[in-house]
Amino acid sequence: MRKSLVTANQKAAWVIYKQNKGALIGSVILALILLMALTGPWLAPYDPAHQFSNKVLVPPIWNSAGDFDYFFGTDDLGRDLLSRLLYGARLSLQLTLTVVVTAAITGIIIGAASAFLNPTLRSLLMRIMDLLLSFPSLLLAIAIVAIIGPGLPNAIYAVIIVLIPQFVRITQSAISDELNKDYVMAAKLDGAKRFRLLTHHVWPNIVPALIVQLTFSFSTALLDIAALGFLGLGAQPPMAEWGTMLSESRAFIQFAPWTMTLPGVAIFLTVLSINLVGDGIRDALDPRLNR
Amino acid sequence: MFASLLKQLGTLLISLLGLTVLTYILSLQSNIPIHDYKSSNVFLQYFEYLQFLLQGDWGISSIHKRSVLKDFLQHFPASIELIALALTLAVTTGLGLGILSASRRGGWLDNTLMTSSLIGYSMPIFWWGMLLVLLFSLTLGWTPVAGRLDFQYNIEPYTRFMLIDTLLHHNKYGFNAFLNALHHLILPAVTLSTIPMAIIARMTRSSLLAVLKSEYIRTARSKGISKRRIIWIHGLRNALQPILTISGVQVSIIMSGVIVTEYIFAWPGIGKWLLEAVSRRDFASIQGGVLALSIVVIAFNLALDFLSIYLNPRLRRPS
Repeated sequence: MRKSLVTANQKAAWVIYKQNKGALIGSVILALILLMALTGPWLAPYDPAHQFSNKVLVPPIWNSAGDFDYFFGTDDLGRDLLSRLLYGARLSLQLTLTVVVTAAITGIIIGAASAFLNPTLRSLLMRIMDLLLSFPSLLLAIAIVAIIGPGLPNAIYAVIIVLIPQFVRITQSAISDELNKDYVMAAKLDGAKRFRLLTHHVWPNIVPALIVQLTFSFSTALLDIAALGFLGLGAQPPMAEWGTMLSESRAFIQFAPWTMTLPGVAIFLTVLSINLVGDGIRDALDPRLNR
Repeated sequence: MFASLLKQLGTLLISLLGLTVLTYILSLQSNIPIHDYKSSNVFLQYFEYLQFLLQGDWGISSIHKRSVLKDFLQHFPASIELIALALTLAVTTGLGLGILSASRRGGWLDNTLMTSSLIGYSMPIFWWGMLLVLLFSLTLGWTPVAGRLDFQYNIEPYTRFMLIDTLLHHNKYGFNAFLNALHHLILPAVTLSTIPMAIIARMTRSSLLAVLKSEYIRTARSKGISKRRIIWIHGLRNALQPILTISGVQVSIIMSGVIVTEYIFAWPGIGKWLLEAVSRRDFASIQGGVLALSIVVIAFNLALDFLSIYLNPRLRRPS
């Protein structure tokens, strides 16, 4: 009975999602970027680290000075930008996925576990989460990187720690909202234990909120990882990470603007498509919202 | 009213304590202890650390050999100037665009504005800053690339707010120095304000539209009150609550953004100072900078909370 109801809801959500033009455009862009990330090593014409020393700062092909061997041109060390962007897509998306999945699992577990805590402890835990949430995310990430040292793995830990409180908070508040509802009371009277209440009754009802949070976390994580790379605190050169590539291009903005525009476009399009998909999912899962 | 104020202060106290625990951990990373502690116990030292902070002794920077608090206060005005202009731009333009969008709901202007705001809030700030520099500074030559003032002006740092200091040198340079400072300030402020502006515009639009659907607006309309008056007088005041809430989040976004913006524009403020401290592992400065910036964020949020309570009588009752 319950199962068929969920599918009906899912169908309704899909119908709303399909009608959302922005969400569809976002899905297509995101699918293309994902495809690029998956097939990057086969699509890339060259090794992203290989330096063609006689082909330094070649412009992209739409420039009259472009070279057809280097579609998006080359950077200051003669590395093929198309190859670097493709490998960068793979790296950036892998990192983002790792960060979001780890933060989500940890955060949801802490948030759900807090339902079993006594109210004073729970309220203390939530105050701590609120404190972490009120921190500017990049400042917190920088503080964490300062403690454990710069570099890619540490930047990843920092972004995970920054994201966890969001999941804890949303899980906890969604659970406490649901626990006050009549159907939970009915299940309780029926003799359901707290654990069963959470897994069988509350969980299916908080999943939509978590999915929405999850989507938007992808864009936050991607931006924070790239920002740390840009500031020299995350991925280090010569790694083909989008933020690091942007940072390396700073000295050549004027002579070789493509070394700056292309990685930026990559980050921007990815974030934009994730946000479009996220907006679509949120509207589809919560039909009461204004559109 | 009193009870909710008390609750706010309690939360504030817990936040500050949590914050100092974090900065204390940061200060422990330093090779040379940043304070002379009497106790050898790490936990008791924390209380001594609190005492030092309260006395205004925030440690000595290991690279500059200067008081961290003094260093912070010297760099802070540059950031305040940038943040204040950016926040003003974000709030006024964001509100304006949101209201405009809501009053032309579904029209081409609404669609264009909302598409631009979507683009705005998906924009990586570090890339946006570089694009603006490329366009306005390097290609068009309208604005300076970096810094706060051209070298030909010799300004004594009285207040360290460049806009004020240049005005104080009025007899020496006329308004030229002031205009030059303003000229340097524009592009970083625009960079910093874009993302919050986009978010505030979207929030204003949806919040205003939600209010305009309510019964009392229909009543007002049926009484023949003009559309403009309905939006500005009846709608906006009631739509302000969620906008204020989201503005609190914007402060935190701006604080993250200011670090990146100062890095791009070589702006001699707190963000650049903090990044330098991180890369040179100057933990005294790092803990001081994190502490001070967070206190600013907390203070801002508190002020916004009070403003919400003031604007919304329903919040005066403690929940």
